[in-house]
Amino acid sequence: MPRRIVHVRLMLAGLLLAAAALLLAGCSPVEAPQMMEARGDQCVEPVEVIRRDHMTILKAEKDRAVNLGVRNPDHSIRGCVNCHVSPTASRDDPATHFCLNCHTFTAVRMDCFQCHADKPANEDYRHALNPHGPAHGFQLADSKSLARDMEAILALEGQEQ
Amino acid sequence: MSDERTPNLSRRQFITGAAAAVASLTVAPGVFLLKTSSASIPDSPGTKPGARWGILIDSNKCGDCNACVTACHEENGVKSLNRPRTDAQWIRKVEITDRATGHSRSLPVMCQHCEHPPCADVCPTGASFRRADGIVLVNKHTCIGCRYCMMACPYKARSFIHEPLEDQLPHAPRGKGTVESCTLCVHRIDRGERTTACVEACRKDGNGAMVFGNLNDPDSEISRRLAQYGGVAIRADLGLNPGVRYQGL
Repeated sequence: MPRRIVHVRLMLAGLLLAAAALLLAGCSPVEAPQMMEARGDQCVEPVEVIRRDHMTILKAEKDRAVNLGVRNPDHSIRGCVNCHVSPTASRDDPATHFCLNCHTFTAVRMDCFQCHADKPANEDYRHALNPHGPAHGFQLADSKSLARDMEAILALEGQEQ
Repeated sequence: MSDERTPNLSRRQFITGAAAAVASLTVAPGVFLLKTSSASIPDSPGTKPGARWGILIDSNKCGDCNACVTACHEENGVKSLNRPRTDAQWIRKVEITDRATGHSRSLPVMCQHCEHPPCADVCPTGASFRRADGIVLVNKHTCIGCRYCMMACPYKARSFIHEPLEDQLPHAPRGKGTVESCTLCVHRIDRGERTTACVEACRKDGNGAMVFGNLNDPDSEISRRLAQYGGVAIRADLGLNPGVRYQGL
């Protein structure tokens, strides 16, 4: 009898493994959403900076714009929308809306467009191709600072072990 | 990184009169010579140095028209939802009648852009604030929609947005759950324009009853008119020193 139970257990384990393998085989890499082409030729900051830090730039920008009246069109949410969103965009159709498209894909909820206009007012708008410097109080991440961060992380991990 | 500002006069300072910046002198019961340092807000890089923007409204000229209200609401994308009790109202026409004589006149009332804004005093988050050039604004990023400012404002200048909005204008973000009011067309001022939608419309379609300008510049039209003919604040007894002044009341 005990032998039989072992057999059954082995078979069950085998079946489970086979099912998992089948499931994995059915999965392809997740496809990135179709993104609308930006209307300008060049972003206001290098793409890797914008990808990582656009929220930091916008946050710094909003305080300066609202409280101090310093308006920097290149680093404003209006600047993003003018270039990245189609004038005929709709919030219900994320494919037309660059910001919403990516935020839906990455499951990051943002409230910007509850108040801010979600499409450009002027159809012909293009932002300047020679953008201003980095946002006020904003340090661009360079390879040195990244290396420093990495070292700090490794040191911390070393301590934990 | 955040450049949040605190109101220049805290509630405690206001109540106790402990503010070093405020030297008040009682002339007679109920009459104060209140000297507050408006310089306690330092000039900021984005605003015109030393400016204080204001509007002068001549109620002798202001007639039965609504041009300022229409222009303001069009400029800022304020639309009626056909719910008069909750519709946002940045500027409204008020009719006042002297009961003794029956003489009545009509004048626009909007945010009066006080030097000592009660809205900013009561705001628990610092969302209501006064900019260096005297414009009183709501920072909707920090507004939690508590509506204390609406209770505090003696001019009933503020509105609360009760419903989700769509198709806002790029220069005038507005949204559910925040309080809003006249911004003195701050987007125009920051673009370098020296007029507001209401003043422009009054000059063009109305009776030319409104003048916009820098109250701190003695050579500006508004200052010259005020020097020559004078101008009163509504509820001057509150000592708020509003930037909107009236003639002929």
